[in-house]
Amino acid sequence: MMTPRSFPLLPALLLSLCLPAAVCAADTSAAWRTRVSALDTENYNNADILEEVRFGKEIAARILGRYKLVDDQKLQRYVNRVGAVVAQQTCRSELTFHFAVIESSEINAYSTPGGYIFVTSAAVKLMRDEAELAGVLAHELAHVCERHIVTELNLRGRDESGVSSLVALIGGASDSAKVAFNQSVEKAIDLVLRDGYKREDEMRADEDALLYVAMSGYDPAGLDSYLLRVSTTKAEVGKTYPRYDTRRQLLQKVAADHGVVSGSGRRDAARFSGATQVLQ
Amino acid sequence: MKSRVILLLAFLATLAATPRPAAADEYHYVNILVGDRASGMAGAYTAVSDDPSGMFYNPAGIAYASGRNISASVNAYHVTNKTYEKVIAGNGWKRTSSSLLPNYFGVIQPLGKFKVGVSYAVPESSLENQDQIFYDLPSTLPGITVDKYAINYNNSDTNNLFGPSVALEVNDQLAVGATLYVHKRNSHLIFNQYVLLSDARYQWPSQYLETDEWGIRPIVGVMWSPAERLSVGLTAAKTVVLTSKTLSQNTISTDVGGAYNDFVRKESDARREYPYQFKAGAAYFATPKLLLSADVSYFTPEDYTLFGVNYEKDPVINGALGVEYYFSPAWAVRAGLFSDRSNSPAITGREDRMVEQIDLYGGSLTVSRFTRNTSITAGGSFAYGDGQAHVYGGDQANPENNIQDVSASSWTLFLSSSYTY
Repeated sequence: MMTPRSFPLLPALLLSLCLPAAVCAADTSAAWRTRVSALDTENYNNADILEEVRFGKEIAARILGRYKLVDDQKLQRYVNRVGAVVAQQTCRSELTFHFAVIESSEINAYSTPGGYIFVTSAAVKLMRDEAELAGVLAHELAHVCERHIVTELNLRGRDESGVSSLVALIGGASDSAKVAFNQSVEKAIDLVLRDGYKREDEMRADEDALLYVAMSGYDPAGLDSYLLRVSTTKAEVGKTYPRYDTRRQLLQKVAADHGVVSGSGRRDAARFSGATQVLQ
Repeated sequence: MKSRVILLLAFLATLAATPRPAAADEYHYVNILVGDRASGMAGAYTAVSDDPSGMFYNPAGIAYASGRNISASVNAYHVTNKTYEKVIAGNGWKRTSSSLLPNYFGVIQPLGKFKVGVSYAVPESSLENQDQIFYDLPSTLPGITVDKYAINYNNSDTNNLFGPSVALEVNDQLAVGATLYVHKRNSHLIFNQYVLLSDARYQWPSQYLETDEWGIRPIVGVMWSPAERLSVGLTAAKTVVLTSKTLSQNTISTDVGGAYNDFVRKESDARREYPYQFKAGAAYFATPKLLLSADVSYFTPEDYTLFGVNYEKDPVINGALGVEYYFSPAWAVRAGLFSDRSNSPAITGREDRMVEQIDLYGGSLTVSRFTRNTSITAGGSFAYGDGQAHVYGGDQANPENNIQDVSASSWTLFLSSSYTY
């Protein structure tokens, strides 16, 4: 029969657990743990862009699996034309942007990495003119341009070098990568459709949207007037968005800082009304 | 059997018929270094642990793992050589052990506020062999010599650990974590000796010992950053054996003193008691290129009895120093020094079983190549030490004659990879 000698484990453990209580209030961050091999995160190469588009397609497919497209070619072509005009002002010339109106009673719009933009029929119904549509599309384009989901999920292209192939051979990483891809897609779906972007990302998207719209020749007040109307409805909106008055104040400040004048630029209410007739 | 064995002990190895639990290396706690990065840094990883290897060293550290999902695997080729000097009539014994195996795999990913992971580790594995024949040896029988003395020794032992880990970053300065390994150990010892005397009489004892263990090995850890770039880690661990089956089988055939054959088989459910292990480490992340780390580990003393034989182990303190340096974002080198001291009490020559006491000291060196989200590492470690052993001899009047000098060396080659996605 084995009979061990006892050892004062409990005092030792308690001592070790009490040590953190003596922490001096150093303002530290684990960022200093990052080694130099992992520091190059700001540059995106072709492989990263291809991966972003691939990822975005997958999310777009999932969205279309949940929501039907509004069955009106005239409306869909119109939204794509407006979106294409605004997209020309963005920094992502390497992407091909796609726009679609989906049937939903929720007033909202969604964007995926790689350039897939969706706006709900309820949101379009609430708009009054083309400038407001451009403002909403510009906001979603800004999420793509700023790579908000790409950064959140650390999406990176696959390295096809010999070193990586050897790594996959040694470590059997290929199957793990597939599992991780699917998990990231699920996480992105939650971000896009349920949890929403971080507050600061939403604010940044509003800033960029105002400038895209102004540079496209639309009235930069379009997004502001749309937000004002949304705030007066009792319809359900995305829960992580900053308060509407906060967003409107930010838009006014950005306009003032950049010398953007409200009321200048076109609204095209008649064209908008004709194109969206199917939803009225 | 014991009364006949006493006659044999004069010129046969101690414990010819006394069972002992086989262990990959029951006298040391650092058998094979584990982990992609940690193995290059001599295992000085308690305060680093911010990658899949952290699940083995300090699970709290995986809270700081960069990247979303990481997997890492290590393959190792491990060789140990031991030489016992002047065991029998000036002749020495040599034992070698080698094993080639994947000795670590781990995957971690975030789950809400937590980081979770699962890992598989083989921190101990050996296949020790001795195959020697000695001729013309003296015996204690008047006018009789030993024409031939053959030893066949085969001792295989592997310890597998597998289980989940979880970590939580409490705040910027503090993280906690835990790993719960399932412990599975299998060992087999076959010790066969054949003695042929000059008058054609013989003795042939053979021993077989098999142990099959299941248990758990919980590891709890804390990672604390008292200042920028400085990390301190603390862990506590213990293997708890839940079920154990040990089979001992001894046979002897001899015609010394008249024909005699015997077969003794014993089984035991007694559970081996493993020591508590406490580790403390510190790491200084000087720059994104340079990392320095140091570890101290303490293993508690233990003693237990199996089949009437007492096994006593002293407390052990080991240390390790590690350094990591990046020449460029694509290349890094890691090196370290470590101690692997013996848990055996001092050898007296009066032991009733084979024992040895060798303090090993060694170093490691690896080189890593990085791409955007992968890395591959190659390198090795080496350890050497000398000490004393009692593997032969039963001179009770002069026990110092039963002590042999022994030297040991071990080396391990690593090839590992990690993947971030």
